[in-house]
Amino acid sequence: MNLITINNLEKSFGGVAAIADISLDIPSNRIVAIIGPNGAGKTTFLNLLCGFYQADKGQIKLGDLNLIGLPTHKIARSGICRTFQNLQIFNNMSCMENTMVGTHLNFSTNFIQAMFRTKKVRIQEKQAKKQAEEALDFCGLSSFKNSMANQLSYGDLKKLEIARAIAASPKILLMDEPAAGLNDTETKQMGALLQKIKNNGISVILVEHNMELVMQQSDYIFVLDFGSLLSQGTPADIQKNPDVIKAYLGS
Amino acid sequence: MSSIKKLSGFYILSLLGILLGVFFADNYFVSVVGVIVGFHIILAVSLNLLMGYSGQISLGHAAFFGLGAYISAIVPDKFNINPWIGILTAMIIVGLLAYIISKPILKLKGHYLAMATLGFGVIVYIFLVQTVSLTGGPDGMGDIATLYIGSYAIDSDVKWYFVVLFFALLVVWLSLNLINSRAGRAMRAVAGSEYAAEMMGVDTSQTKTKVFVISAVFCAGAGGLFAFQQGFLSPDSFSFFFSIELVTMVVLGGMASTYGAIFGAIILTLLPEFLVVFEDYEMLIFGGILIFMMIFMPKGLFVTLADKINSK
Repeated sequence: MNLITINNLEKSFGGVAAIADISLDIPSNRIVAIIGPNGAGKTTFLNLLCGFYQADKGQIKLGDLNLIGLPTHKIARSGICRTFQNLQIFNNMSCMENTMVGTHLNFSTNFIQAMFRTKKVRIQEKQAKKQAEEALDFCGLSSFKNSMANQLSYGDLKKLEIARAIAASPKILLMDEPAAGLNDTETKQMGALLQKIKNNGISVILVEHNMELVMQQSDYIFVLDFGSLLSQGTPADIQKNPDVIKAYLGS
Repeated sequence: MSSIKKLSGFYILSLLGILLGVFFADNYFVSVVGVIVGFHIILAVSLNLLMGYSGQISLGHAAFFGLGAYISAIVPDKFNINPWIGILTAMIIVGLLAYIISKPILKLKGHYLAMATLGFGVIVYIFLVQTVSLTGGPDGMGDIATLYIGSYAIDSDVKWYFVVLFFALLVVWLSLNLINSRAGRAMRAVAGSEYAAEMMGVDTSQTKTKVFVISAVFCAGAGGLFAFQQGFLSPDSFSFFFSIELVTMVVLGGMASTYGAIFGAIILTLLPEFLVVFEDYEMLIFGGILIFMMIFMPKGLFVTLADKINSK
């Protein structure tokens, strides 16, 4: 079954086509990798999916909902969350609070209720704490619960971003280079975490340069080159595809 | 920090405020300076919600305070209604004004936001000076009525001390509650990373607007009380320099800390009183102390001290 259907997506920056007429179907309950050489348009593609950029043309459909033109916080509401390549941690908060921001959409209390700390606020606060604890635990960060985020190592911050995203209980998790800057052990842990996320019923769409991780963990791969779709298929197909090899190694 | 620890600070503060008022009522520093400290606490804590927690600077907060003061004084006088309704009216009008200007202003960031809020503050100041028929212009506005609670007149320094203490504590309590909630975390997320906040479903522009309006409304309320407490208003109390003083209170005490803002308000109000003995050199020493503190305690006085105590 298709999770996201993309039709004729286009995005250019000052005449340079970062994404040139891409149409593809992203299957659900899979780990889907988007790969390609530097400048292929991978991150632009993610930014279009999550609403940071507005497409010039085309459709991104999640079920019947067209995501084009929606602001990011509305797209988040439809069940999409993401992590960032250059970390976007809330350094002014503890790990627990960072993760609790992830639960934002699961609750509803407003500013006025918060100021008077109504009963509803207190009940929701407890639930939010519980959800955040579960998410931290899921990513193996329980011991850092009360640490300030800026005290964590780079690898743990990457996990914290995932915990924060998981806390939102999204349908789809977009990940921008989850393994960038990680050592071998950490990359293996990240691979295991990806599987755990998938087994929890969350579809993963990741952009990644680490081919070992991509080939081992992903179920389906899209290859982008110069903003267009070069190829797609299972990791085994992609490894054998002469076009892909050419794009990566040059002719 | 746990919520119990956060609120225990609030109880200590309340108790301290009440004890000072009960036992040292005749002391100049309590009944006269103390009232001003109370006003400054309300303003600094409100500004801190916007500046410290949400990361949006405002160099025009004195304008909200001033508008609150003038509207609170003018409305009961012109329409012959209860002064409290005048204060309420001021809070509503200032809230609406803040909402309207927030739409274009809060799209700006950093230096540009500073410029825009500065401009707003200056415009309001000029307005207060120029509309002589309403505000009395640069000569000021006197004969502001006495405030009553029921039939009980608030007509002495000590009575004002307790009224201002009550409202200051109320604002501190509301602020502490807000910070440790879903809405408060959304605010802090905006300061931390707008991208990530949006991705977590936080409507960042709406959140900024709400904080801006809340902050302005609190300042307007403080202004209303200030008008009746002083009995006389002059535009100079609400100039650009006062906005800067408020920002200094927040930064000096420690950004993104309600207690820090309180600390900053207390110190910046008391310090000049103590430095009076230096006469001509007062401002020189005052400036020196500020520079010294910012060099050695860049995170702010309260936050630095709290960190030291926590790490022991």
